[in-house]
Amino acid sequence: MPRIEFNPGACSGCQICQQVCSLVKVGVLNIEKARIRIVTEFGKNYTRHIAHVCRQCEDPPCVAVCPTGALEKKDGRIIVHEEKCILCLNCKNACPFNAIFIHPELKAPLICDACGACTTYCPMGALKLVK
Amino acid sequence: MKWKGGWVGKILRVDLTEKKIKEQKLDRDLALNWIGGRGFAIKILWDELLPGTDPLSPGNKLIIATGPLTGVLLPSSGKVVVAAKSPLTYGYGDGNIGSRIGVMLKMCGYDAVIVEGRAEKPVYLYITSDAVEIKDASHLWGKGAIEADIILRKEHGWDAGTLVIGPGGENLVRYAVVISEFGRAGGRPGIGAVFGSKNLKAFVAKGWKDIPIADKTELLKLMKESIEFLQKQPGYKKWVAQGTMMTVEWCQENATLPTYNYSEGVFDKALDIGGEAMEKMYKVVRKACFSCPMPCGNICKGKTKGFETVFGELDYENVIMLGSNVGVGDMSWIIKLNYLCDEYGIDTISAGNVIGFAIELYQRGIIDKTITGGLELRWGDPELVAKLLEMITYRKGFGNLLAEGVRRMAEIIGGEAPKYAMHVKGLEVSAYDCHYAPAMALAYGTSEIGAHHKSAWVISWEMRYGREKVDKAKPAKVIEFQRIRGGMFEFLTVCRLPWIELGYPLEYYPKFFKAVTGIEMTLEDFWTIADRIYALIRAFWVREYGHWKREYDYAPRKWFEVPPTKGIVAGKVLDKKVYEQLLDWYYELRGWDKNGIPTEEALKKLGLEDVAEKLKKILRK
Repeated sequence: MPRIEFNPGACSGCQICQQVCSLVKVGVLNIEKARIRIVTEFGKNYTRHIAHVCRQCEDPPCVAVCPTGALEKKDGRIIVHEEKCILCLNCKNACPFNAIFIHPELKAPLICDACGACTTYCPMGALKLVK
Repeated sequence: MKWKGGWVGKILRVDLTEKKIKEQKLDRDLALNWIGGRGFAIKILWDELLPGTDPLSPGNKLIIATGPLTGVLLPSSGKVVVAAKSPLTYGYGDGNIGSRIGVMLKMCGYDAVIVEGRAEKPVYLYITSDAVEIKDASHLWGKGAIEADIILRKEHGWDAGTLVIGPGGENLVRYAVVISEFGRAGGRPGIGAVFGSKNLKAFVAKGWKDIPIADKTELLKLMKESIEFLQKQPGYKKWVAQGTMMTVEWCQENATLPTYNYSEGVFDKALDIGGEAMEKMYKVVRKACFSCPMPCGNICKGKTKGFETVFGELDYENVIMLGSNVGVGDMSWIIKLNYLCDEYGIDTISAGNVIGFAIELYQRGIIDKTITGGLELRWGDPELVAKLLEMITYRKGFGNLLAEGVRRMAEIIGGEAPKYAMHVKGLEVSAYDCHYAPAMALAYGTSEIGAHHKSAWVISWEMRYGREKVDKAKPAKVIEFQRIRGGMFEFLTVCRLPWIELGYPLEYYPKFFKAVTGIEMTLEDFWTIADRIYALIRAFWVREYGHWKREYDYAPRKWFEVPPTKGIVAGKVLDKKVYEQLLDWYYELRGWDKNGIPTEEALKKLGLEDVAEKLKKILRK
């Protein structure tokens, strides 16, 4: 089952993955249109980098709650059929990993399809494409 | 010539007095002749600021500027310039921060923001792709910069871009900085105090628009090549492990490590607070700026009991100025002191310099307990340093004097004090001792904001070239570095470190510029723009001072008059004649006159005829 694996200890929070994702998958430079999100949280005594990206669940709750069949699990990946999506956000709310994103200019949710483009740019080796 | 990407096309103008928000189109001439970042800042300040404006009055203008390459997929593009007339130097002041506010502003649709006036009550600016709001900040006022940043992020999301000031900025400490994302600071010449004077606690930006790019395929290709290039460099691994902290050992070897207020160039405990020690014992997380494949952010945790609860983001400059320069050799304490400065929102470099100056004056008997309010000032006393940092931030007692910076302190104290005040043009010297480094001393002397190392960091070159040599290559190198680091990197508004630290070829920048904007420019074109920026910055200083003197470009007196006693620099002082010669050559190469004022001819060559006219009028008075 292909998916993107994240190593938080290696990540630096540079968000190169997000830029590459938006360029490769949407054709624009816009980290808010990426299908992966890296967030750096910090406090007085901690700093951590967190990745939000689809885990390609075995039994994906997002697909289960989609009322129009816009989401499909095919060859181990979640596929979004944009034309069927009504932006009800059920999938986003059902995702336990906060890995589904909505953008005001886009007609369907952003979900990683494990293409692996981001992993080839990750300078820290924090992202890996697992087959 | 119309661009196809890079610039997003609008400038935001916020008048805090009138609560007015206006947008203006990014002017084509401004974009092509000044590019962005520092270029925008100086051009706007020159055109719009009323000459002689009090930097802490509502009349001062605060500029937050990105460049066409900011926030774009290229090595280390996550930068932003914050600028204003400086309350520390009364000349041009700016700083450059690694903060997501740059990319976020562009995604909101703005290349730059100009803030004018003064809010009646504490406010912060909240900017999105849809709207700009001046919001109440009464719940944030008085809070530490990191604390306030966290509150804002909890409200607006961790992915927001922010700039925040601490109580240092609120209380108008003249070297208050702007903080972002825990330990990122910028705006050494008191830009944080300008925020404070406007009752502006913070900026928050959250955008979702595309950043237009002329050639996306080329951009992806260039970035791939760039990452591969950087990772192949022999120094890559160590750089990522230690970042600028490796400079501690290097400076110790070359005896250029500021120690006891630049009395010595070596420190007994240098290795305890060096890059190796940090990597092995204190570093817990690495942290990158936006789009950086060679992250140098060192998040460190103390070892000593009590200090393991506080993290600090360590860089060479902070560690040395709060370490050896005040005689402190305990890394856990330095982590804590560094954290305190960031939370207070005061500059670590100036704070360490100011405190070192005070201790030296006390030790030499130039000041006593009647001035310090009963405090005994000793070297190597971190608890004293922590106490003084707090007194500075809240302008308590003796701290009120320290909050003014070393130039004003020296003027107020008088007597022998100016001899030990380590500054140029009022900005405290950063962490390189130049008793035996004349080119680096010249770099400090001629830096565009006062004694800062950012632009002409020629010290490493000088050690290889020959410290003792006196020839035209030295001022020429200072100018070359000012063009590259103080010019190109500042107006493109991306990080200078890939080039200087890992030899990333400069030729990549015109290539990225073409791929992003669609416009062809050569490195030579970039140098002309850099020279234009330097000439206008100098003209701004002359205009704001109402006159100019060659001595304003001198390195601090101590380097000429008080020799160190230890290591390979023992007994060495800068030679005044040598310095004068280097300065003459520098002026000659720049086309400036004997007093450091750009000549009419030089200004005309750079397309600044109107500036030449204005300077003539000012100097005739």
